[in-house]
Amino acid sequence: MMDEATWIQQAQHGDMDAFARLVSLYQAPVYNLAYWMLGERMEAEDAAQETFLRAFRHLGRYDHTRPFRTWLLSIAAHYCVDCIRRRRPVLALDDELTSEGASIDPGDAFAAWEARERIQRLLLRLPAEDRAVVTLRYWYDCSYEEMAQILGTTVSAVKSRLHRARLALARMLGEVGSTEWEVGSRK
Amino acid sequence: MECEESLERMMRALDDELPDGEWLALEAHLEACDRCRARWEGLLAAEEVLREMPILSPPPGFVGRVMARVDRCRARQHAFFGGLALAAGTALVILIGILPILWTLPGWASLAVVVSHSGGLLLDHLVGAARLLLNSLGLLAGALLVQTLPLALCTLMTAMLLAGLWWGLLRRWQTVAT
Repeated sequence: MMDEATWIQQAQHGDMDAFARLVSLYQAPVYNLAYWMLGERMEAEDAAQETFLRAFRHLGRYDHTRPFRTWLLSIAAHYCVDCIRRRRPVLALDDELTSEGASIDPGDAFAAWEARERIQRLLLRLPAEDRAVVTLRYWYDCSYEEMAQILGTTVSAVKSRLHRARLALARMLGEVGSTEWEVGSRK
Repeated sequence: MECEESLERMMRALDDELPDGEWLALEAHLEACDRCRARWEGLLAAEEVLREMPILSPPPGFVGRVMARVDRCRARQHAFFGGLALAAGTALVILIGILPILWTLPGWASLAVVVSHSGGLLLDHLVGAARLLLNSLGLLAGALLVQTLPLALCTLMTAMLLAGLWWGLLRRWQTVAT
């Protein structure tokens, strides 16, 4: 049975079947990262497709010493951050963040849909980079080092973003008054 | 323990990186500080929500759509390089055809003389050779401009026309294929 490394090598030599296997293997991780970052299914699919297309174009430059998943998620995360930055002025007009972006799939159980909606609404209020860190941490269980590699930043920057995001999410959940959350305000 | 330190410990506790001794100290601080306790409860609630992030399935046919885009991308790359090769090939064939005409131009003869003479005496006669070389190149360029400019333009236009036809045909084939 062939493994991922073989498929990558074959794809680098122009084997389309091998590349299709890689797409099939990584479609869920890439699509989920795009969805949790962008918050809309159509846009997530487009971003996931674009990620694989860019991966195909730059497959020759892929460094085999780096995990393929990290490389692929790095392409996806950067693309999604760019998408979010491009559309920011549009989102600012709709600060209420209603759930209109996410269509209800009749096939999904209501509880699952509700949970997804709830998380998505919270995530959409975070800055793009913080959203990426939260998704990589909680969906992919990435280490700080891996997140830093994927996002092209330092471990301390990733930690700082995750801490900030956790505090922001906790504040959004409304468990305590917002004045309690002012970091560094006390003596 | 200061509240700032307790916050840092809370974050490490969420990452399962807080040693038992420090956890006990944090717990003692949480007992005593209402604000930090409220914070910790909020963080735990957020943690619980984030742990619920469900796995979504990509839409059906996703792999097929990706591969269709990849195929289109490859076709465009092939078309580009095919068109480039066709244009270069056409230009080469036409240039080979006009080479005998070029050979009869006056600049070529003096250029050949300069090159053959300056080969062994390059250091001694570098300046003179360079002057001669420039002169002969000037002569050649003048002759080329006068006698072969129409031919060069004709070559360029033919190559562009063929490349354009190639692109048009490929686009048509791709449209039919999709």
